[in-house]
Amino acid sequence: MPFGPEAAKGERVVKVGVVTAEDAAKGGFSVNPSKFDYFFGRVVRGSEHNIARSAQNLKDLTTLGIKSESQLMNVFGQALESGTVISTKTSQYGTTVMRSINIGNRGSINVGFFYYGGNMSATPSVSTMIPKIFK
Amino acid sequence: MEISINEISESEFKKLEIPVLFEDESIDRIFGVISDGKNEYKLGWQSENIKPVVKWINTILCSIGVDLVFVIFEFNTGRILYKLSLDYYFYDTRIYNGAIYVITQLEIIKISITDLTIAETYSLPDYFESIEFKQGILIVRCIGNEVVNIE
Repeated sequence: MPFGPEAAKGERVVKVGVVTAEDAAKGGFSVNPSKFDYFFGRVVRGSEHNIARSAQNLKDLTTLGIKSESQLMNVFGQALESGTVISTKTSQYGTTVMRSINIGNRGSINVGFFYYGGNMSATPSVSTMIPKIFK
Repeated sequence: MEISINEISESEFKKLEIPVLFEDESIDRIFGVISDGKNEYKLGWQSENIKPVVKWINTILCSIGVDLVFVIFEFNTGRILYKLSLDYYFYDTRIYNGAIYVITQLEIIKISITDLTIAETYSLPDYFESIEFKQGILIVRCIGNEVVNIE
């Protein structure tokens, strides 16, 4: 399961604002590598809506000046550390906390942080991101 | 009933004096007019690569979804009966067994056609890929070969 511990093996893990081991456990997050394909327009097979959304993600991130995975990881880190919580949802899979972070005055990105099994002290994985471009 | 959505410029959108189905002035970049030949409504959304999905629910009610918005409205009056602000990107709408299924990236919302209330929300383990209705069971496929059976 991509959100589960099995998938975590292949995920990039980043520690954000690390001060102590306890903080590290709280502050880090992981991203399944396949999510970057989706975020950066590299989905070219499968359903039409996923291909179109992937292309749109690339366009929106480019407009916001985010052109690399490391830049996007920084944004995710900022979202986890100082983003505004806009929703919290719990399902049978776990809990997703959606945080919003402004990208200068150009827009914002909502980032979904998924806590497997609802364990809020576990390292979350990024489940989705929703860029918004201000006019 | 034949429905068309024609894209228009932002200035045309502002000038047009017809009812608005939905818009978000702060982020909309694409604008359109939905018409059945008799009635016209305007709408705005953000994503250039994504087209709104329009589905008739019955001969009177119509649904439209795009980005993070889903509405059900009466086409002949423009009266909006139901509006959902979605947490995840809208993908598609399906009608099955007296219910409307609003399919989003990470969840499926079941709405009863009789009273237009949310009957159930089904979370998905990963991004939605396809759906099949088989003998009362929803078989949902997600990316990464995840399959969820919903009874």
